[in-house]
Amino acid sequence: MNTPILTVSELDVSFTQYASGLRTRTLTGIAGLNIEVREGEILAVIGASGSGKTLLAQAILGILPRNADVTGEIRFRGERLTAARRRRTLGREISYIPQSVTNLDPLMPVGEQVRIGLDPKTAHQEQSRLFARYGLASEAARLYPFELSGGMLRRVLFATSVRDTVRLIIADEPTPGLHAEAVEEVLRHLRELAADGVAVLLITHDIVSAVSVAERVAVMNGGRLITVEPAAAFTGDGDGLGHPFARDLWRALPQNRFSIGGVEWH
Amino acid sequence: MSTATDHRPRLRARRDVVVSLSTVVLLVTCVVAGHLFLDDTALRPNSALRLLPPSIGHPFGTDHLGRDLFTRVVKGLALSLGIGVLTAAISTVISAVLGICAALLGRRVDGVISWLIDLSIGIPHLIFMILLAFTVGGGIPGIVLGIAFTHWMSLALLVRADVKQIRDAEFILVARGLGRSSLFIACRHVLPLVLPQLLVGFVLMFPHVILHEAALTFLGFGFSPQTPAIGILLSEGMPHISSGMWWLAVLPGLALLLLVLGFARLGDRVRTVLDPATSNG
Amino acid sequence: MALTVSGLSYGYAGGKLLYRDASFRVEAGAVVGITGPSGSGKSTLGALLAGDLRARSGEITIDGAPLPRRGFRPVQLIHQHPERAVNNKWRMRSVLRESHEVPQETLDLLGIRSEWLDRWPAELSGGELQRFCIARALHPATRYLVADEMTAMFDAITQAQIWHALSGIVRERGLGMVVISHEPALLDRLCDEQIAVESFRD
Repeated sequence: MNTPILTVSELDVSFTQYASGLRTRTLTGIAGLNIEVREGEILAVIGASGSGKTLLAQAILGILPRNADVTGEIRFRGERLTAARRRRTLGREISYIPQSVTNLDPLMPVGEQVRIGLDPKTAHQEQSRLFARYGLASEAARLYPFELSGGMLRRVLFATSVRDTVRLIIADEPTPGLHAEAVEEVLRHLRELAADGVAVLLITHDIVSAVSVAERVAVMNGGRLITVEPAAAFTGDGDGLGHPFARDLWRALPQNRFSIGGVEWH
Repeated sequence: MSTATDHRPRLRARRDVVVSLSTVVLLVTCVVAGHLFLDDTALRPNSALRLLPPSIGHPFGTDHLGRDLFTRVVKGLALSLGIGVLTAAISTVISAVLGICAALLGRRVDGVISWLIDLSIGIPHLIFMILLAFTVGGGIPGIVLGIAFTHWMSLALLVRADVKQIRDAEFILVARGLGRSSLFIACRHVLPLVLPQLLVGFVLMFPHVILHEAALTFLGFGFSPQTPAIGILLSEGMPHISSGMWWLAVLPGLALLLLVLGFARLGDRVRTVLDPATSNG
Repeated sequence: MALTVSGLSYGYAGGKLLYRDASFRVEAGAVVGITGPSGSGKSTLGALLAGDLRARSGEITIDGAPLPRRGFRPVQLIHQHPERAVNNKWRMRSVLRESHEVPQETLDLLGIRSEWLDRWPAELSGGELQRFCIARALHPATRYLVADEMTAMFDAITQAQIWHALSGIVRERGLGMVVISHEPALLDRLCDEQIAVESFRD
């Protein structure tokens, strides 16, 4: 259970932008990031918008904007993740669960979308199995995305992303604006996948759901990895947390002390 | 997925802007310098020099009254430029005011302005222009107003559409909540945001204006025949083409074409840089 | 002295009614939370309270007077995305001045540094921008604030910092405040009273 699936070392992401005229300037997105996700583990990456957590996902998937410069190394199952290797593994061994259900094709029945990339001989059978697994009625396969509710679309997204061959799942903010029950359902699916041995990289700004589902929680701020803490340490007053930033972050939650630094509420 | 933008076409467009801007600046400088420094004596009729072909002394040849054609073309282009700036400016201001008012002042004002735009588009261009020029009484005011009042519609429609997109923006709702008037919002919030659009509109209008000025004077609605306007040069030169004196019409025509194309290209490139979505660079 | 909503009904053209005959009051000095899942009409209610939208039927009054149609509105709305609520072509100093000359004391309380005043919006983080939006909303004539998911986009520390600062000011000035949020824990911390927007449905 301890084989590393994804290893990111010394990752730097920077952007070249046009400042004025023909002059350019460089912006840092991620600086010197090291991270590892092991088999069967859920690693949560938390951070505010602009902390670089979404860039991390894009760097792994090779979908950064074209003006981005990337240095450092990303290894998948021990081998360097090159552009050619990405083409072979994306959608088969590496899966991406996007932020929004608008990533589904509005003009294609959802069943057909789930069958994309499956072995044509067994695709229908496999799709029915996935539908059953995610609690979707088999009749729903013929429906278009606009005919399904938001919750059902989210399950379809999972069904399109998950294959038997998958070893790594990258979930980018899979729970934005969802109410508690829907969040719990998404997290349950992630937990099930991890139990099957899949490595899950969960990117989110929701500390509470990150802590409830992950083993380890990586905290990012301003493009840097501040600390990686065991999820179990995010409890009570957070005294078990090693890094002061993680402690402040935990204590600042309204359900905890709602404090800033040492300053208490009221 | 977030949209990945490729910056290379935009960079290329930026270089193009620099190139076409330099071309236009060079042309304009030549015309203005020529206008200021060329000797006016070359414009006096001289029967000894009638209808000479192009030579070193008279690069564009001379006309049927023995006047130096190059000097006349430069003076004509200078006049065109002056009229062009004035007319395009007036037209841009009309577009900005009407476009912003239509989008910002509610449904009734929008209805009236849209009706006005449709009406103005519906009337044939050239006829409307000639009528206007005639009403004002010819000369520079006639030409300027005639062209300005017939060229504001498409830019006004663009401005109106642009402002409609931003009028419900949160920062404008905030401004209203803070008690700011529509005039304040139009001048301080909306105008700076549509300024690039207006700039492009102005530059793109310029070649149109110059061509129409030439057309109006060519047709005889404009200046007295002594004025060295490009349109008058062309209409004087046309009858001589058949008798082999091609330079009288071709050279002024080419000079006009160069200036017009220079501005058209510049406007096009500037638009690409400011808004890469509207063109494929 | 209260912000009073009585018999308010509203729905988008062609859609179902978001609220039917909704009534509630926000006393000056009180903090009222509005809860509900996304898409339930919380933000629309905020826009109605601030006068950005007009109700089809029903009445909103401020300390007894109807919401003014022109001029300054004593109910100020603070939006979820501060970068959309400021004109990105304005320096921050002008953004504040559009409202009023914000006293140094208020800037200090909100943690706005003086060097930020000369910056463009793009040169500030979301949390920093939101402090400006709050300062701008704290006009001397403001009686009520509506905070629509004001800190939903920020990390927990930034969220706590902003609320610490704002609730002090609100208490001192005796302003009434409506807090719109999908996060129950936050509302539990901030509010004297909570209303579920679904309760206006029927």
